[in-house]
This record gives sequence, structure tokens and C-alpha cells, in this order.
Amino acid sequence: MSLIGTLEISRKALNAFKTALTVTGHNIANVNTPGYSRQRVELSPSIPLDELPSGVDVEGIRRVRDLFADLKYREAIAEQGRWDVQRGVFEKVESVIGDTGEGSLLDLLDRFWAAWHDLADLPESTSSRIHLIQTAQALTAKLKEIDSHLVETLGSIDEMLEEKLLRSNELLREVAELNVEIAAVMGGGGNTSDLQDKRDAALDELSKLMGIGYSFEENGAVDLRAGGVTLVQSGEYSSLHLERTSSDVAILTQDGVEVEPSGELGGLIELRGKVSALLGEIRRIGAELITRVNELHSSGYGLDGSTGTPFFTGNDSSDIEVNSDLIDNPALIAAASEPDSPGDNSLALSIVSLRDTFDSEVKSLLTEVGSMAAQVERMAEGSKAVAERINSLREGFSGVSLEEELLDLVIYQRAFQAASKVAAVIDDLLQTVLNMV
Amino acid sequence: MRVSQRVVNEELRASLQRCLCKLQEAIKVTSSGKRIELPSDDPEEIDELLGYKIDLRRSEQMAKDAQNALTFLNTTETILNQVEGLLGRLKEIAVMGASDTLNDRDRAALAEEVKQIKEELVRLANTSVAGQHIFAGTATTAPPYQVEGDRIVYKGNSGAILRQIGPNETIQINLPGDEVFGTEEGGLLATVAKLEENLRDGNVGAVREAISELDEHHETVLAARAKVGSLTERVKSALEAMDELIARLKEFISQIEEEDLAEAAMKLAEADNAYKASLLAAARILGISIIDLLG
Repeated sequence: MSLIGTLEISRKALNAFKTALTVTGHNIANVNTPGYSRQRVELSPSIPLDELPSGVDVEGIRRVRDLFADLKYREAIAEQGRWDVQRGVFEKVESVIGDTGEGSLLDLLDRFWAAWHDLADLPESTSSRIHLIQTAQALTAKLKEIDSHLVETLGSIDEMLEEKLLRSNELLREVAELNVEIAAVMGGGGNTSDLQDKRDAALDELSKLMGIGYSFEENGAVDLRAGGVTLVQSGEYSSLHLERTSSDVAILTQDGVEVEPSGELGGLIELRGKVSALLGEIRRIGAELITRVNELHSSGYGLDGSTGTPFFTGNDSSDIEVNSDLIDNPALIAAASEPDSPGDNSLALSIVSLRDTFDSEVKSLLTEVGSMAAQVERMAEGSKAVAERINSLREGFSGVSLEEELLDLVIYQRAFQAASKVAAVIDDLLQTVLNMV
Repeated sequence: MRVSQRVVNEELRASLQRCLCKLQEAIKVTSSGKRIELPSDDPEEIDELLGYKIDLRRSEQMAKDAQNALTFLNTTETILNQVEGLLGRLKEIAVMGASDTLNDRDRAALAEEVKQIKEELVRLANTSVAGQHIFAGTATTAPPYQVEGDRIVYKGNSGAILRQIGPNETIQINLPGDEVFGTEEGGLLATVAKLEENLRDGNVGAVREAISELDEHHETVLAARAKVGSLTERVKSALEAMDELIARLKEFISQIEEEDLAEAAMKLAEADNAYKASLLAAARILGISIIDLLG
């Protein structure tokens, strides 16, 4: 073994420690970068050509990543996305429908029946008629308010779907592009860690958006599916769009294949179904109110002997109004079952008896809204906790620990200094040998 | 398990958020005193709670109706009482008028008194409360008895005015005038009108007949008073039952809906402590770094 050979050992060592310091620096630099996985220099002793040792080699730079934790996290984040996206919207829906305080649907409906009661107490009086019309108008306004709130909610759900699909398509394209890049760098033997981190971040976000299944190809590319439909294969991807029918929406690929995603997109479609159902319920209640009250009211007689007058106009909660003839002339309100009987209140009392039906319908609507909202809330909390736990396991494994990196920094710094010392000693020896000449 | 910087930061952030959320919830409950604001606050109990609330409002409404019925019945009772008094005087007059010892001038004076009593009776029969003529059947907007020449005509009908005083209890609270005061063809007012005429004409035989007719009418009025009395009792007991029900419903509602204040205060204190503790932990942990120690 020559002195020059020994000098070669310190050269390799200096090189290795410099690389290690670079990686440590890279790790520290990315301590707060979301989705970054820490990297490690793999060092191994050089394979000697003869019996003498030959120093250290840099095997490569690897990122520390647990693929199983990724898989579990992505399942969890899809579930979290599915419920979280519903929570915010449902909170608002509940506050509009589910309120039971002053000015709520329950309250105004009750006031409506109470006004009929009051009319029954004094059917001759104009003031109790005017009072009835006012409470009826407050009720119809509330029904229309709820109706239009739900219609607007459906509209904003569709907007959110469009927005999320736009982002999904960007990410699908990004994954396909990264697939190509990674395959190329890998083929050239380069370090794909950072590219992979970038693709993993995209896969995380896609999981949250639509819940994905995936598998790796040998060249490092990832194939991606959602709801059983392949969306990315190597460098190819299929973009998604929203297809609306009169009452429903569907997510289709560009080839027209329907995708049933989970995640936020799935959650939004689920939410859309729930809100539609509630809207249907409100419309049905509105329609029933119009039919049942009108049926009785038009069989009765007003103060002026008029009969056959409908109390409400419109078809359901979207267009319910108090008959404008009654507003113009409250005497047309029928409280009597017989003509020319201003004191007859039997019809008003029959209308009051309708309240049983509507009380229980509104009660079950409120209970339904409440249990839907509670379920969404519970699932959102639960799935969030699961996703957070898995994420902290994953982050713990892949994330950067500053303490660890700083210790590494000291260790490699010292090692670098030691290797330099070796080089200095060899240099000294060589000098001695040269001076001998 | 390995712990990295990001895990520590995330955990701190999440636990601060959780604590703050609980604190806000505790503040809300403590300040409103209500455990349930929206159905989702307790979907298991909300069905029952809404049931009680609906029953409460309905009971309050029926109590109001019953109260109203009571006023109506009391007015009827007062008037019947006055009618009874007048009937007594009428009978005295009839007995006097039937006596042979009276001369025509005395009878004319009696006739004058009968006329005034008749007018008083018509006034009573036309009583209205809040614009509602209570003896008009359901033709309540006009006075039921109208004097046309020497005839007294009943313009009312025999319709019923109803009040719902219980969940399944609807009663008729009015006495149509024809049942108490009669019509042109017969009844109290017709008898009184005839009595006045006969006294004026000195028709002693006819005046004597009026005595037994007045007795019959007295019976009718007494029966009517008894009917009103028993209705009043019925409404009163319905009202009592309703008040009791209302009190019980209110208690049920507050049991479900309201938070025990002591408990709420405890929860608030707990949430407050937890929040302070996690803030303290954050301050401690974020301040420590190996950099300080490596020098």
C-alpha cells in the first residue's frame, strides 16, 4: 500500500462526509416543507482490491419513506375529506332549517295555528283576520327562505364540485408528468427522492379529493385509480368533468365512463343527495299545507258570504303565497262552515286541527336534519382524529428532526475534520520522504 | 416511535385547537344555559324535546281559549241572573194585574213598568262582548232582537259557537237567543209583549194566563243557568288540568334542554385549565432547541 493510496482513502472520506453534510443541510432546509421526507446518505466500506482496506463509498442517497403508512394515511384522508367537506355546508343548512327558536319554521307554523285559534275566538273581528294574514305571510316567507337557501346550497355544492374537479385534473396531469420524469431520472441512475416527494404530495391531495387506489410500475411510475376506474397510467391521464341531469350530477371521464369517487368529491355528491332530499321534504310539506288548508278553507264562508276562496296560492314551498284577494279583503277569510254566520268558528277550528299532521311532519324533519348533522359532525371529528394519528406516525418516520440533524451535523463535521487530519498527516509523511531525496 | 419537528408542531397545533374548541363550547353552554341549541346537539333527545315543546305551545293556546270561554260563560251567567231578577218582578206585576181590585189607571201604570222591563230584556238579549252578540247564535254581528212596531223579531239563528278546551274536547259555549228569550211566535219576550198589551187593554183573564207562562219561562232560564254553570265548571277543571300540564311540560323541557349551571361552570373551568396547560406546553417546547445547547 502506497502513501498515495492512503491519501486516496481520505479523499473518498472527505467526499463522503461532504455529501453527508449536504444531505443534512438539505434536511434542515426542508424541516418545515410539507410532504418532504428526510433523506439519508448510505455509506459503505469500499470493497478492497487486495487485502488492504480502501476507505468509504457513497452508496447513494435514499429518502426515508414508509409506503404502508402512505397507503393507510391516504385511506384515512379520503374519509376525512368525505366528511369534512359536508360538515361546513351542513352546519349552515341546520342553522336555517333546524332552528327551533323565535322566527324558526316551527315557531312560525305554530303562530299560524295560534292565529287561527285567535280567529276562532273572535271570528267577527277584522283585527284577528289581519293578524292571521300577517302570521301566514311570515310563514310563507320562511318556507320560501328555506326553499331558496336549499336551492342556493345545491348551486354552491355544484360550484365546489367544479372547483375540486379542476384541481383534481391539475393533479392528475402532474402525476402523469412526474411519472415520466421519475422514470427518466431513475433510468439514468439519478436521485428521484425529491421528485417522488412531489408526486407523493400530489397523491395525498388526490386521495383527499377523490380517494384513490394505486400501484407502482417497475420503472417507478405509479398507476392510479378512483372508484375502480383507471385515471393515470404512466404518462397518460384521463381528465374528469361534471355531467348534470335535471335533478342529479355525475362525474365522468373524458371517455364518458362514470366515476364514483370517495373523498371530498364523493362527500359532495353524498351531501348533494342529502340536501336534495331535504328540499324535497320542505316542498312536500309546503304543497301539503297549501292543499290541506285550501281544501278546508274553500269549503267555508267568509264574513261577506263568499265561498270557494283558496287561502294559499302556489304549488309548494318555492312559490307559496297568501291569496292576494284575502290580503285586500280580510273579510273573505272563511272561519264559518255556514253562510251568514259571522260568529260560526267551526271551520277555523277544523283548520286548527290540521296542526297535528304538520307538527309531526316538521318535528320529524327537524329530527332528521339533526341526526344528519350530528352524524356528519361525528364522522368528521372521528375521521380527522384517525387521519391525524396516522399522519403523525408517518411524519414521525419520514419527517425531519432538527436535533437528529444537528447531531449529524456535528458528527460529520468532526469526521470531516478527522479525515482532513489524516490527509495532513499523509502529506507530512510524503514531505518527509521527499526531503530525504 | 420516532418524533420529528413537524409531528411536535402539528400535535401542538391540533391540541391547542381542540382545547380552544372545547373552551368555546363550554362558554356557549354557560352563557346561554342551554345544552341543546340545534337538533344536532343531541339527536337522541331532540324528538322528545320537540314533542314537549309542541305540546306546550298547544296547551298554552288551549288554556288561552279556555280562559276566553270562561269570560264568555261568565257574561252569559251574569245576564241570565239579571233576567231571572226581572222575571220575578214580572210575575209580581202579573199577579197584581190579575187582581180585580185594580182600576184601569193602575193597570196602565203596570203596563208602563212592563214596557220598561221588556226594553231592559231586549237590551240584555242584545248584549255584545267585543263586538260579538252572545245570544245571536252565530249571526253575531247584528243585535239578535229587533223591535219592529209592537213586534219583537229574532234575527239570530241557532248556530253553535265552539271552543276547544282540551286535546279532544270541544264545547258549545253560547246559548242561542231563541232558547232563552224566545221568538216572535212564543217565548219570554213574546209573553212579556202580550202581558203589556193585555194590561193596557184591561184583559184580566189573559193577564192571569201570563202568570203560568212566566213560570214556565222561569224554569227555562233556571235550566239555562244550570247549563252555563256546569259548562263553567267543566272549563275551569279543563283549565286547571291544562295549567298543571303546562307546568309539567316546562319542567320536562328544562330538564332536557338546560344545562345544570354548577356542572356547566365546572366544565368551563376544566376547559379553561386544559387550554392554559397546552399553551404552557407550547411555550415550553417551542423554546427548547439543541442549538442553544450546542453553543
